[in-house]
Amino acid sequence: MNDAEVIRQADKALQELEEDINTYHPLAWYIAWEPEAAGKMQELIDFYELRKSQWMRLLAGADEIRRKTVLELMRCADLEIEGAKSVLFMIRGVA
Amino acid sequence: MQTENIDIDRYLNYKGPDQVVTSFELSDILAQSSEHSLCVKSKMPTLDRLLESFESGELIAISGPRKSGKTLLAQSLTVNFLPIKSLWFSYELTMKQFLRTFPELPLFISPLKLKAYSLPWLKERILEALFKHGIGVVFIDHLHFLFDLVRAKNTSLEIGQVVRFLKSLAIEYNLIIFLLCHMRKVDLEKEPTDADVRDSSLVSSESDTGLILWRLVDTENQAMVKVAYSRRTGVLDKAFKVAKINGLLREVQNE
Repeated sequence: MNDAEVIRQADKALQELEEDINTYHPLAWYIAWEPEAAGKMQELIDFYELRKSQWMRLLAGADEIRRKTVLELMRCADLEIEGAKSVLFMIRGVA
Repeated sequence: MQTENIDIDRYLNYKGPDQVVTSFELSDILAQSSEHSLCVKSKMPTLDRLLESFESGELIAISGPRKSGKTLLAQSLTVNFLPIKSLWFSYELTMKQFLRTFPELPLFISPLKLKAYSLPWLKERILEALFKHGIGVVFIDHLHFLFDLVRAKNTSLEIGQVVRFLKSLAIEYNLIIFLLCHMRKVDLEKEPTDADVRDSSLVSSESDTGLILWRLVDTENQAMVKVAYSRRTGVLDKAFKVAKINGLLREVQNE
């Protein structure tokens, strides 16, 4: 895979991530902290776990540019998961 | 059979990641996904023609009688696969000895220390190498260091479990895994087959490709490599000649 293709794929993944955040981030729903949001939080966690496993599959045979890009994307997903878990903890009162 | 408690709508509306779909839907989904697939060439013309390439998700068993050149073949592939990086678990030789066997040290990844008989440890180091170096290929030399032969109740079944574990790692992380396996004592004059793999026929049935080597005893440095089976290309029992040239195996013309 050449550099231009790596950059194109990274741009696409970042765009998807931005769309994901707009779609799944609790602030975008205006319903965070409500009991009915618990299901959505779990949905968000599952969604990012799925994304992480998809991104992880890009690491095999990755050059430095792709490896670092994928690791950044996975860290972003971790932050979203952590945020969702915090909200879930606030709602349910248990981890 | 009880049917009164079945929630029909739950099944009709199920949209989970494991939902059932038609073959046409599956084909569309796969066409839309930008699934990354790693393909590497051996740079041995006959092998590349027979297998097309080695692909991510595959488990390849390399087997042969003792001193037939299994490790040498794996080392040669390590060099030929570059710039795709390989992770090595070389249990048979000390690190010092292992590094010395390369005529010129290529780039590969290896744990500083090895831990035998631990699949969770093996998985941890594979993930570490994937995150730190983006490896694409794993070499394990050899199978009998992955489970404790002394404690094994049923060797054949335990080997089957190990091989299945490795295959699932290859699929999950998009890796190509090479597993070196010993053979039981075979007649050096006779061409070995995958039925000669020590302790288990499960190695051949669970791996995607089987490569078998044997030395040509009347020559100084030549051996045969046979693609005993390839699940993907359907190749069966096709062999070609290799020779040790400048410390690595290279394909040579059959006379």
